[in-house]
Amino acid sequence: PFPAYRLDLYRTPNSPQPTINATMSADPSSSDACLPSPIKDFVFDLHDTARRSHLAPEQSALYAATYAALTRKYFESNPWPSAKAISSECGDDPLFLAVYTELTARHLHSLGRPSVTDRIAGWCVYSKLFDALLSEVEGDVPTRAPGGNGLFLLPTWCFDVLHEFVYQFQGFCQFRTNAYAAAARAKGEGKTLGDGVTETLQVLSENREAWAVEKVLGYLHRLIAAGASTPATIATTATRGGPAYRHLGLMASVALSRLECLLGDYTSSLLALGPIFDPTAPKIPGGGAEGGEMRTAEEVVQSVIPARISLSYHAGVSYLLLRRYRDAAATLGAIGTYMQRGFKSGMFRSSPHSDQFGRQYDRVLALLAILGHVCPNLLADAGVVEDGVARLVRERHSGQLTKIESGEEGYEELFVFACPKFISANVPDYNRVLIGDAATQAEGGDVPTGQDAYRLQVRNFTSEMDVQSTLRKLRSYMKLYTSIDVAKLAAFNDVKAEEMGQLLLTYRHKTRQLQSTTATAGDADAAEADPAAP
Amino acid sequence: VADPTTVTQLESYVRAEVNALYGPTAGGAEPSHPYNFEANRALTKLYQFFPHLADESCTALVLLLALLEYPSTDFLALSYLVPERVQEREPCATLKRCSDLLEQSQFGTFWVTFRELVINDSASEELKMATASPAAVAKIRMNVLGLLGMTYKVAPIGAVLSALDVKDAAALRDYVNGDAAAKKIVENVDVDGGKVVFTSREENTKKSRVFKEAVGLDAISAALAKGVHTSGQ
Repeated sequence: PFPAYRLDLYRTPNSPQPTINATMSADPSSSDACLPSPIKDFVFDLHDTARRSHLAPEQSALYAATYAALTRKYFESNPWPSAKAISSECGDDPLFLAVYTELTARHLHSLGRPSVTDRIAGWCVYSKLFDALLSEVEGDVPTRAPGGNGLFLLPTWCFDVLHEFVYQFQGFCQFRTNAYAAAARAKGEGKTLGDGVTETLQVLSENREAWAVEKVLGYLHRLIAAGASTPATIATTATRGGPAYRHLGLMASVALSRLECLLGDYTSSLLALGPIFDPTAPKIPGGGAEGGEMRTAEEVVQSVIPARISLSYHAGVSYLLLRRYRDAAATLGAIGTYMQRGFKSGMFRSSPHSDQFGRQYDRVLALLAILGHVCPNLLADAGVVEDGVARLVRERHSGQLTKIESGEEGYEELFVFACPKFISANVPDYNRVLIGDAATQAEGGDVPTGQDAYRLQVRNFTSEMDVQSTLRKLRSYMKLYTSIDVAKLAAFNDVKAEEMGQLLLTYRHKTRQLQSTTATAGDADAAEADPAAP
Repeated sequence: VADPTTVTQLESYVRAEVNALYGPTAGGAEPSHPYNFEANRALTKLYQFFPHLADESCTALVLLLALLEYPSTDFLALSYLVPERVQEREPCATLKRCSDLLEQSQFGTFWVTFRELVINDSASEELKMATASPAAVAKIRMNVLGLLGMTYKVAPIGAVLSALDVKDAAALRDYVNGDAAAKKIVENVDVDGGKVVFTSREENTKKSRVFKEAVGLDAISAALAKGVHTSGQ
């Protein structure tokens, strides 16, 4: 009943899967007088914490507990009242109404599998919200909504908004790619497209602007800029927009890092984390009339468990694919330790996202298994990966690692399990499918399969691992001997003596990599280091 | 951010980079258009988002520029962004093969494959010009020499000649003596002895081990615990 990130987690095998098109597009005209009092009180109080009092504990109770309880009681399988229906409870505050609409739309998306129009309606919700947010802080003319104190939203609320934003974009890209690929294949085989497929492609074609990647990236960058830590920007956002913008800016960095990783741009994924680990950034007040506890940007992000996990996971994947194995192991090892302690202490039980943490943990361990196999000394170094996590990695994945040792494929299986769901963000040429025939498909060439983005990442990864696996045996002998005859070393590695020079050069090249010079993820300023070094 | 209207500008910059770094007038201390990985990566992403704007000849130039930055991982980073079907078509397929050969230190085969780009029918004139330019050859040669210097203290001269695509020992000696950066890496070209002696550095020198007479329990307890765990499986 809480904001969903994975629609499949909320579906049981036999549950009906109604489209939510009717409910999303309808605008219940129920008047304020028809609303139950608890709903009116909730909206009033939430608006008060967001626009006037800025009291973090009160907002936390309303957002985390009261909202879930009211949803269970009144809106188990129905949408919350529309913004219009509750507007009188919040003084017709347009920005708060946009925030409220997004909050309740998340619940709506959890009720069933969204249709194409539901997905496009979701885009309208987010674009309206971000336009409203950014209009308060961008431009020369200061605006201030009723209440006068600007906007306050908890870091966890900000994360939920932006995480869902990227999640819906990811889902839309996959939906669009699969729909187009299936239609293109059918056309290529000379088959007629069904009415449903044609209608879906028509709607997509007529709404090209919806979830356009340049707009999605644009919103994230603008939010990061609005929450940026320069004194001038802080002064502007604090006096004009309110403290929510610092939180939104940081969580937009986490969201952008994730999005760039999904797009295959691992360099940008790491660079996006810059604002979070900026040591010169002023601290952020925790909220409330007197400002609350002051925290660094990193502390704010780390205080939101799913944000912390998302940041580390995507940074770890980016480091791995950029061949920065030590940084990958350090990042994933740290979050692995944190999650292990979280599970043992029960800290995660109270989080509404706890059902996803288990799978995320499994992915982290699988990535560490890959890293530990490529660079065994990384798992052996307690300064990089804690012993408890290293032990668990060996226990969980000993079977697969044994397969790799014996020369069988194993890295790909681990990576496919652990990697994110990569996406293609480009808008297809719908006319080729809607208007063209089989001949057009053949002429056009390059028919997408729906898996192109994913296949490219996996192919590049396995290509790199093929080289790394040939060096593994060599690495172990280099560790074992202080000096050894080249011919003997060649014999151990099943190569000719004259080929040994080339293997040694490859070993030297592959074992040198960039490594962060600070203890934080995302540091693009790194020095060359040898992860094989003891 | 991800603005398709910037594609033309970024393409112009790529061509200007190639011309400044590997064109007929290349070789100055400060190129007019220095290598800019951020800009090149931005263009590659725009091609990914807007395939109808993609210019494969420009993609090839971007990949060439990254290839010439070996041993950096710029080419690797771009390989995740260039569609598979583009990487499988010429001339990007040959550029990918060149990158793979460099990564696996197959330098002899690399030079042969690299020079094929000059006569590749699918390569643009700019690509051909850049791959044929002395500046491109010098850059790759220097980077390979750097790797040799990290791996070897003394190497057979034949292996070095093949790796650097240099004709003979005399030519190698002339190359080293004529290049200040190469002279820092190579200590001596021993023509009669048939070997190249590289300057001593941490990577190519045997490490001395420090043996402690007494080792604390905490230093070995982790290893003991692992041993117990392993033997218990």
